[in-house]
Amino acid sequence: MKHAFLDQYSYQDSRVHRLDPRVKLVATLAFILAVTTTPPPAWPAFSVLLMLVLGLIWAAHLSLVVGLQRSMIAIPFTLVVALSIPFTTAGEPLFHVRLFSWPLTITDQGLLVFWAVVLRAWLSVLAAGLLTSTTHFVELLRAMKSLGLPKVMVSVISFMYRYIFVLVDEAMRLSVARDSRSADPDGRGGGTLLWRAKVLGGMIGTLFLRSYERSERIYAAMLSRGFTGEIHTLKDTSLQQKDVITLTAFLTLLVAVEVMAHIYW
Amino acid sequence: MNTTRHREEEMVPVVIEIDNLMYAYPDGQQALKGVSLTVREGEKVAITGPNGAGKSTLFQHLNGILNGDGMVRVMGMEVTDPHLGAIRAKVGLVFQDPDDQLFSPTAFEDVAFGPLHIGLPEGEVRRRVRWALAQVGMEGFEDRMPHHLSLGERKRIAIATVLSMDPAILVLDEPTSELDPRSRRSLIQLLRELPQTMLVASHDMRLVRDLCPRTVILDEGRIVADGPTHRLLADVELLERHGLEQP
Repeated sequence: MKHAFLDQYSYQDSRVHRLDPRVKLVATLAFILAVTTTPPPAWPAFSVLLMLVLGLIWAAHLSLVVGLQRSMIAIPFTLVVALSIPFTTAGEPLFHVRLFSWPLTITDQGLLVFWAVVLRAWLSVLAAGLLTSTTHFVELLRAMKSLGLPKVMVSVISFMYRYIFVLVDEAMRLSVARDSRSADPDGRGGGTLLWRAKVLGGMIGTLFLRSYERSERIYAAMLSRGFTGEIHTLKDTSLQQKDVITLTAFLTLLVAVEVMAHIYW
Repeated sequence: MNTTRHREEEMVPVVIEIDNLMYAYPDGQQALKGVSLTVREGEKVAITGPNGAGKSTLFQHLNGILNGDGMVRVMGMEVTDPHLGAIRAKVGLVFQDPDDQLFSPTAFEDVAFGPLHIGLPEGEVRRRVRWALAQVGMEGFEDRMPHHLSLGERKRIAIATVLSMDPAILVLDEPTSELDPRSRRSLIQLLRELPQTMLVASHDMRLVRDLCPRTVILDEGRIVADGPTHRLLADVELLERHGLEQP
């Protein structure tokens, strides 16, 4: 169990964990769609959506703190993308700043959109985190397949999941091998930055070559077991009534929130 | 005495027939230089020899992954395109590294892969998966993921992935490599109990001694010895000449 960072929480049990993975996948995608279509000034709608996802985290017996911490991962990326919005959106100017000799104006409308974008990204990541913490990756793959994602794509994701662990192990072995030979007896070793970059480049190349060779062996193993280019899988189990009801209720709630957001707020 | 034994052997059908097989890698290096081998039903044959002798290359000719010059016949069928489907259902090839053999996220899906691709109905696929996992002593491991299993467990499940296809011939590449002594012993015990005709590539000489009554030594793409294991293993000079040792 060296790789507990994936699937760490998906082994636990709760009503959310026990829901059909297809329901959870569709619900998550619908939630993200709702979040992204909520107009900026509809703050009540955003709060309802936030309460909804936090409530589900609580119902899944997950730690709110961990959930919030994990969702922060996306914030820096969002900030980088959204940073220009306050300056480039038309609206009433709020105040002016000078970046070197470059005059910039922040508008009220721009600030509003900026906050909405950050909030949307954060809520979406929170929901995606909830999905992966309550659904095992293998079940997610099955859900993707049965919801009509092409088999080839499901296979690619499946291979990625299967071999990321093997690759991480191989990368760790390479790194240990390098560190073992990186002695520094008189305290001035380490080499130049360029030299170290070259070593790292070599390691990445080695990893790529090994993966390439492995892919050929895997393909031979697939051919040996009757693979002819077409992927066969077992049929899916049918959805249970209570899963359908849960999904319908959830989607209805989302639609209601959106309608309110667009009409009243 | 000798003639009776000879006649009995004649009665057992030949399942693998290789005649003057030659193969060169794409880079021109000659890996097999005229290999001829006959294996009868139920035999357990060790293919041994130094690294790079051509053992794995030879194995990949048995189900048409590689195609060299010369004749390879399995269960009476020539290993050519029209027969590949049938041959691959009959020859269970187990690769050395279970991480190559187990490419699905769960053990169930890996063991079911072969039966599904032969086109068996769903009920039969599920029955075969249960049966094959039981054969290798891995009942209840259906939902386990390969990266959560020990090497010994992965090797066993790798064998189950071909047993589920109900093969007549098992071809195993270094089945005991990197295993600790206990996993190694229990794997050898498992292989002894399986009824299939078996070709085992290994330089684990104790595996050779304990599992295979017949041994073939391959060196530089040629068969240099073929006979009863006890006689070959007694010939210290022969073993040393080909980079091997007594168990």
